[in-house]
Amino acid sequence: METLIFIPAVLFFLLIMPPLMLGLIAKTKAFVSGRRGPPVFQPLHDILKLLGKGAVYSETSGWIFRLGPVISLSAVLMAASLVPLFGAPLISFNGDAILFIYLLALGRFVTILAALDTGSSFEGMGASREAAFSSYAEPALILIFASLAIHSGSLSLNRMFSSGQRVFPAASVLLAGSGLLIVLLAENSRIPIDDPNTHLELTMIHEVMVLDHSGPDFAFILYGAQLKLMLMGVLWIRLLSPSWAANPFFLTLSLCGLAIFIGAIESSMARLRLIRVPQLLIAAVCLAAFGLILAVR
Amino acid sequence: MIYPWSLPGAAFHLGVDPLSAAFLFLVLVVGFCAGIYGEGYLSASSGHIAKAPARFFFATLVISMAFLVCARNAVLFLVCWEIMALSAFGLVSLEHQKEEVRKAGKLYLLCTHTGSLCLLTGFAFLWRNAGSFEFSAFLAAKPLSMFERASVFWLFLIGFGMKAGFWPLHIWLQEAHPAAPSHASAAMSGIMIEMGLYGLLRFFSILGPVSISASVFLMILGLFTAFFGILFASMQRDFKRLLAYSSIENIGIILAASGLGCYGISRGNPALSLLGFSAAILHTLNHGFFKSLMFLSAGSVYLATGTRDIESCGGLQKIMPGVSAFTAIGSLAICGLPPLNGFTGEWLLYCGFLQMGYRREIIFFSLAAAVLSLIGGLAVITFSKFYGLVFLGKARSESAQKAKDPSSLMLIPMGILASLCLGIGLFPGLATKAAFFAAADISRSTPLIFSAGLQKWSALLDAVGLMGAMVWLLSALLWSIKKTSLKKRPVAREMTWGCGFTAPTPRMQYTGSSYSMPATRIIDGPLVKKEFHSPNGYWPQSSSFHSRVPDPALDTWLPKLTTPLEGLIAWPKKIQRGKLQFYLLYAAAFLIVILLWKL
Repeated sequence: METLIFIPAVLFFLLIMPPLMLGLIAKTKAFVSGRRGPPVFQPLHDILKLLGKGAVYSETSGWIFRLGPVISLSAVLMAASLVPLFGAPLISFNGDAILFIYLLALGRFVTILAALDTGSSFEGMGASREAAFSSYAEPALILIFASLAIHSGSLSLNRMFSSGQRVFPAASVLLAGSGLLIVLLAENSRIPIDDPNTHLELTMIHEVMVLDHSGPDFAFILYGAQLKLMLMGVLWIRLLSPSWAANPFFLTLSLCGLAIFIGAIESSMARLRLIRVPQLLIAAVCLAAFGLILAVR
Repeated sequence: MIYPWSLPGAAFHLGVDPLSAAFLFLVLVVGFCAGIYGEGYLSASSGHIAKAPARFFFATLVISMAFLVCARNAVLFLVCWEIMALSAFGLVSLEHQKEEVRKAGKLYLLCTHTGSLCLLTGFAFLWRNAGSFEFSAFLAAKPLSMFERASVFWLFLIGFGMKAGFWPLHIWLQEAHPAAPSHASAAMSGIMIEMGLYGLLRFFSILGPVSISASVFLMILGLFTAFFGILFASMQRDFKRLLAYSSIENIGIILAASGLGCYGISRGNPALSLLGFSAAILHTLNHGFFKSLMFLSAGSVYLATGTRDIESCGGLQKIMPGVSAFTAIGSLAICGLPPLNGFTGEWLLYCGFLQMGYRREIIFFSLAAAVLSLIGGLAVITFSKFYGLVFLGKARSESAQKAKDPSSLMLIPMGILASLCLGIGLFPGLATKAAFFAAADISRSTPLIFSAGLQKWSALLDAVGLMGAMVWLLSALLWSIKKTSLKKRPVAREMTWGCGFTAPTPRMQYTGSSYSMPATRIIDGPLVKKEFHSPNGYWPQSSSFHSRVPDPALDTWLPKLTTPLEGLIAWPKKIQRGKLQFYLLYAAAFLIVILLWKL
C-alpha cells in the first residue's frame, strides 16, 4: 500500500512540482505588479507543447548541440535520484553529495558546449558568465555540505539532510541557509543574479545560452532547469526543518511557499550589476564558511 | 632480479611491487599509444621534424621510465632518471631551428639538472646512513637524525618537484611542452612529470612518516599549485601551453592527495592515509590517460591547421569528426566530470577531505575541499573554452577551414586512450584496486585495514560508475524519445540567432580571452600585461592592443633573483675576450709567473 502512494507521489514531485514552482513565481510577480499573470500551470503547458513541436537547428551547429540538452537533462535527473524528497531517495550511498554537485556541473558543461556550438557571440557571452558564476557558487555549496557532513558523519545527502541525533546549532543553520539560498538563486539564474525575464540578450546569463534551442530540445532544457530549482529548494527546506520535511504535504506546501518567496524577492529588487555578482557569491562562500566554523565549535 | 654492475655501489637490481606495477602499466600504455601516434605524426609533418632523433629519443624516454619505476638501486635509479631527462631534452629541442624552442630546451636542461643535483645529494645522505645504495638497505638502516631527515625531505621535494612541476618549480613546463612535438608532449606530460610523483611516493615509503606540519604543507602546496595551474590555464591562448598549465593543476591535485596520505600516517590513521595515497595514484593513472589524449588531439589540430592559437581555430567538429569526438571525451574527463575517469580520483580525494571521521583540522580540510571545487569550476571554464573555441562554432581562419581528420595511425591510439577514459569512468573497480594495492605499502596499513578500505571504497566507486552508466543510458533513452518525436515533424536548418542581424562573420564569435575574463577578472589584475598604443592626433595612423599573460615565477621573480647573481659572476667574464691573442697572452703570463716562482 505504501509503495502505491509512494510512486505516484514521487512522480508528482518530479514531473508536476518543478513547472508548478515556476508558475507560482510568475504568478507572485504578476500579483505584486498588479497584473493577473499566466495560469500557474502555464510552464507545464509550455513544456508539453514544446515536446510536440518540430525543431529548428542552427546551420553552424553540429552533434554537440543536439546532444547537449539530452545529456544535461539526464544528468539533472540522476542528481534528482540522489535527493531525499519526503522519504529516502531512490539511490543513496556514502559520498553521493559530491556526485550530486558534479552531476549538476556535468549538465552545465554540456549546456555551455551546446551554446558555444552555435557560434553566436551572445551565447558565448552567456556561457562565459554561467561558467564563471557557478565556479564561485560551487565552493559555497561544498562548504555547506561539509558542515552537514561533519554533523551527520556521512557524505550522503540522505543522512546529511535528515534529522540526526546531533543537533545542528541554530546560528549555523541560519548562516548555511542564507548561503544556500544565494547559491540556489545563482544556480537557477534568478534575480538578483540573473533576470530570466529580461529582453536584452546582452544582459542575460542562462537564457541567452539557450536562445537557439527549440522544440523538444528546449523542452528538455526548460524542464531540467525547473527540476534543478526544485531539487535545491528541497535541500533548502530540509536544511531548515529536517524533521517536518518527511511529510509530503508539508514539503509541497513549503516548496510553494519557497516559490512565492522567490517571487517576492524578484518583485522587490532589481538585478545586480554583473560586476557585483561575484561579490554576492563570495559573500555566500563566507556565510557558508562561518556556518561551518560555528557548526564545528 | 639482480645483476652485478662494475660501477661502485651499483647493482642492476630490478623489482616490481604494486606501486611499480601501477606506474609501469601507465608508462607502457601511454608510451605505446604515443609511440604509434608519433609514427603517424612524423610522417604527416612533412619533414619539419628530423625523424631518426625523434624515434631514438622517444624510445629511450619510454624505456628509461620503464626501468626507472622498477629500479631498486639508487645508482640505477639515477642513471635511468638522467637518461629520461636527457631524452626529454632531445625531444624538446627537436625543432631547434626555432629560437623559442632552443630557449625552452635550455631552460628545461637547467631545471632538470638542478633537480638531479638535489636527488644526488639526497641519495648521498641516505647512502651515508645505510652504507649501500640498495633501496632495501635504506629501509633497513637506522633512522636518520632530525637534521638529515629534514634535509633529505627538502632535497627530494625540490628534486622530484622540479620534474613534477610543483609551484614555483614548474617554470620549465609551460615552455617545454609547446616546444616538443605532440606525441613527445603527451609522453612528457602524461608520464614523465608523473615520474616525479613516483619518486616522491617511493621516497615516502622508504623514509617513513613525515611530520604533521610537513604533510599540511604538502597539501597547501598541492592545492596552491593546482589553483595556480588552472588559473593560468584558463587565460592562455596557445592551446598546448594551456594543456601544460593544466598538467600543473593535476600534479597539484595529486600532491594534495599525497599530502593527505602523509597526514594520515602522521596522525596514526592508516585508513585515511590509504585513502589519500590511493586517490593520488588513481588520479595519476587517470591524468596519464586523459592528458596524453588531450596532447595527442592538440597535436592533430596543430598538424591540420598549422596554428596553436585558440582564436584562429573553430568549427573543426564537422571536418575532424574523429578527433573532435575523442577530444570531447578527454575534455569531460579532464574537468573531473562524473561519467568519466577524472571524477573517480577527485571523488576519493573529496571523501578523504570531508569524511573519515571527526578530526582536529576539520575546518582546514573543508576549506581544502572548497578550494578543490573552485579548481574544478575553473577547469570547466578552461576546457569549455578549449573545446568550444577549437572545435565548435565557425572556423576563424582559412587554415582551419581546410583541416582534415588525421590518418588512422594517429586516430587509433587516441581511440584507445579515450576508451580507457570511458572504461575507467564506468568500471572504476579495477583501477581502484590497482591504486589501493599500490598505496598499501606507503600507507603502512595492516592487512585488516587494507582489505576493509579496499572493499568499502571500491564498492562505493562501483556505485559511482553505475550512476555514470545510468547517465549514458538515460541520455540514450531521451535521445530516442526526441528522435521519434522529431521524425513526424518539420526540422529546419536556419541561421544562428543574431538579434536580427543576418550577415554574421566568424570574427563576430566570442573570443577566448573574453570567454575566460569574467572568472579571472577579480584575480588577474596584476597578472595580465597589456600593451596599448592608443590612436593619437586628428588623423591617427596606427593603434594596437596586445595582451599577454607572463608566468610570474619565470618572467617576474626569477629575473629578480638572477640579476644580482649575474652581477656577481660578471667579473670573471671580463677575462674571456674570445680573442686568440688574449689567451696566448694568458698562457705566456702564466708561464712567466711559474718561471719566476721557481726561480
